[in-house]
Amino acid sequence: MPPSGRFDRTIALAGTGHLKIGNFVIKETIGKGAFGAVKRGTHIQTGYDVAIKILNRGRMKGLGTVNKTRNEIDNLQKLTHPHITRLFRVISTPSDIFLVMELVSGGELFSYITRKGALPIRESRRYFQQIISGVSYCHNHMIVHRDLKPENLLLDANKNIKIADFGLSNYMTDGDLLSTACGSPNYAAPELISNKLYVGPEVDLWSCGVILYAMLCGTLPFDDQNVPTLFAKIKSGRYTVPYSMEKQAADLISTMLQVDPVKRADVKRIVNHSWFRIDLPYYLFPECENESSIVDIDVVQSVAEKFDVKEEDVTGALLAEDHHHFLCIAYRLEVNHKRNADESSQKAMEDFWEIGKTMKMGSTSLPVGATTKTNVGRKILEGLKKEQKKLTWNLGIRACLDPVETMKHVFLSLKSVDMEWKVLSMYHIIVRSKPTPINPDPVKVSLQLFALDKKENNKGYLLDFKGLTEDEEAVPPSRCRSRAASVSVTLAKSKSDLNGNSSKVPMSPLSPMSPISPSVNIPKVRVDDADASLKSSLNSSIYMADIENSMESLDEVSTQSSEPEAPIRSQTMEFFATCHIIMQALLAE
Amino acid sequence: MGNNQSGGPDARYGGPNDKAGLRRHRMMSETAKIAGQVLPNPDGGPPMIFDDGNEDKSGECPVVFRWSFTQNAQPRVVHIVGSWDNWQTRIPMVKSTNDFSTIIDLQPGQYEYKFQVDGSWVVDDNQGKAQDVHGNENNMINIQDSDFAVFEALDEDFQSSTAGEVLRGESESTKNHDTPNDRELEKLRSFTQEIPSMDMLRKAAGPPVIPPQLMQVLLNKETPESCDPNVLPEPNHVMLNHMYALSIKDSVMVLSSTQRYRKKFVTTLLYKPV
Repeated sequence: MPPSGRFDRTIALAGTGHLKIGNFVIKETIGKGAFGAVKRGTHIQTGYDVAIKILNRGRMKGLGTVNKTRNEIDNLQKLTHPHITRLFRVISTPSDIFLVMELVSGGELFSYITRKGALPIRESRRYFQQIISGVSYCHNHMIVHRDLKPENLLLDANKNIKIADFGLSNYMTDGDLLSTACGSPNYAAPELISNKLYVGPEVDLWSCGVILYAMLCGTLPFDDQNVPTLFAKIKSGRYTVPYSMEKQAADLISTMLQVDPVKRADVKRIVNHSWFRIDLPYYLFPECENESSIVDIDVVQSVAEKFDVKEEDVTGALLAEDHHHFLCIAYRLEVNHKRNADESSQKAMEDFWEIGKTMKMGSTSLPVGATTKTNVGRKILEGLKKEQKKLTWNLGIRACLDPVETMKHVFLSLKSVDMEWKVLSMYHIIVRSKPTPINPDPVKVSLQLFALDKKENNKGYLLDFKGLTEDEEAVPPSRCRSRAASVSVTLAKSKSDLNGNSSKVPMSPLSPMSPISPSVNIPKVRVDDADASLKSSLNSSIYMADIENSMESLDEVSTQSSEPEAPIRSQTMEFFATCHIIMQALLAE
Repeated sequence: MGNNQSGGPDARYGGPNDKAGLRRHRMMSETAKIAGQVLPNPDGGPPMIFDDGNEDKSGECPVVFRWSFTQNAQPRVVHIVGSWDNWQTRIPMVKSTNDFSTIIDLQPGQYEYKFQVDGSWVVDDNQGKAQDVHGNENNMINIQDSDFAVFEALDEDFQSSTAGEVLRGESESTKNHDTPNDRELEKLRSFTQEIPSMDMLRKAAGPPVIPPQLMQVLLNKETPESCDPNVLPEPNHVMLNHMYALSIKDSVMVLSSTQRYRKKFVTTLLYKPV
């Protein structure tokens, strides 16, 4: 090709006032953003139109919105949904970033409502169903939008919703809370405007409730010129329901505009609401897998073998949900047997097999003893259920004293067991054991002190332990597998069961008050200063041995042989061991 | 114990870091593959096909050149000439609201160029400049590989922006959208055994209020009778990786934690003699 041919297309396009980038022709401006223009574009090979958003890198740096753009690009690329604007291509240049996006030609839902006022019920519901489908899709992909409002909901040529502008979106990670207060005031959830920590999806669903109200009424449920007054209204959660609003729609809105995020409706509740389900297209919410269909394959095989029947028979009985079928009963007892290996349960199982054999032989009359033994199985199930109800799990450990004193005690305790830490804030630190040649990469634990919500009459604070897992992709498959494994230890029944809870060790009047008052009642361990280092090293070796025992258990369970050079690590067990060391140190005098 | 998760992601993505950047690049190419296929549109519109197969010819990438002007001094016609083809082609630039611009595909490297504005050769004082071997002054641009990888480019911009400085602790925190979060902070801090002073502890704001969702403990919930007793309700993602504890009973301490494992969740219980 002659040298001049290299720029023939560029020159030809310039004659029409257009530019070319990649396989797209950039045409006229169709919008203005804070960081650059939005232009119409056309794909050269297919002729389809797109929107090209041009973001100037220098301007983004000056305005401090680089990460905002990164979030938008990163999150939007993951999403392929009929009601979310699609990001087709990202082109980076030395001076600008070009986002090639779906062209949505119908304008904003905001201007549509402004022109029309309240929308008809059927139209509002159709838009709302599409919005919830898109938002649910985002949440399933661990993305929270955080700026849902009619200005960010576009209408395409066929009057379908397109969710746009993921600039304030964020990625949700396991175990982490979000803290950034963002979004538009009228549509923001109460916990957002209160600068509280939040999970994510619940703030989007509050915004959806406001949007539904706006579509049906043409006005906003919470509105005021004065921002503090507006915020007070949102925090109160009180709004006017017009007399003309359909009652079922009003009911759905009320479940979504709940100030308490725990009581607020989630996607499941919205989708199952009778008003929402009217004219609901199937493609928006394909049927999800039923949880109760989970079947333990090993137990199925075991039951089939013992009753000399096919596995399909056992599975069929389970799927039929005939709880009185002898195979179902056997299955459930076997499942419980895996969880509880004590002798009385074992005896009941043995008795049950005899019953099963009798039934299989076709005996038309059950002996009285058989009936009695059947009742034994049910009583065990009922007993297990009651047993479970008595136990209450608690997050972390409670702290009663002043947070400053608590954190001081935490730091001193960590030092006493030779832990090291990173300070993220005065009440949030990352802790780990010191690396050693044997354990060069110890697990990291996040310690965060929380204040309990005063509304619930809970006084004091809570120290939360959270494991910081490695990125899953960085973990080899064997470690992924071991992380999933669970280790159960046979628990011998103790006579102290008759005495109820263990009695507390009385506090010496001369010893300083411990700032930690555990919900976990552990007798105090006295450690003399002279022996502190020795005992802490003994503790470490004890827990390391315990982990090794756990590894042996895992090896027995796993069919995959482990390489001696790279022993299988269970991050969960290491997390527990680290928590245990820290808790012992905190509770020591 | 196993937990079931409906419609969950096939893989879990970590926070921003180098590996995540690499993963995001793969995500970008995967998205491009998706975009290259026929995407069914339930609205009945035309299928969207954007094939990227013709791209990436000989490693050239687009570069934007601009000639800015003010409203009272608008030139009629602007061309650009450069060393990319040994100053052979005069390329006309396209007028927009505030500037003339063009986009030229170039390989990374250093280039010199010049503008011809209404017939006069000029150099833009606001862009990089250099002198050639004959003593003539030209504009100059140095193009890096990272300019064409969007996440690398944004990472560089972030580092040199205000938020990047906040992240390194070089300046006071200013509230903008790029304020770092705890995961980003953690990567920049070092482990220590130095205890903060009481003054620092007292000056700090109080502990944050715990969200009520964290207090909804998975193991305190009852499972429906029809379910497999080993199946727990689907946990909120914010419950994962936290440690929950049971009151002491029979001189045994019980700890539990739930982690994600592909499309499911696993809850592990540790029974530990005191």
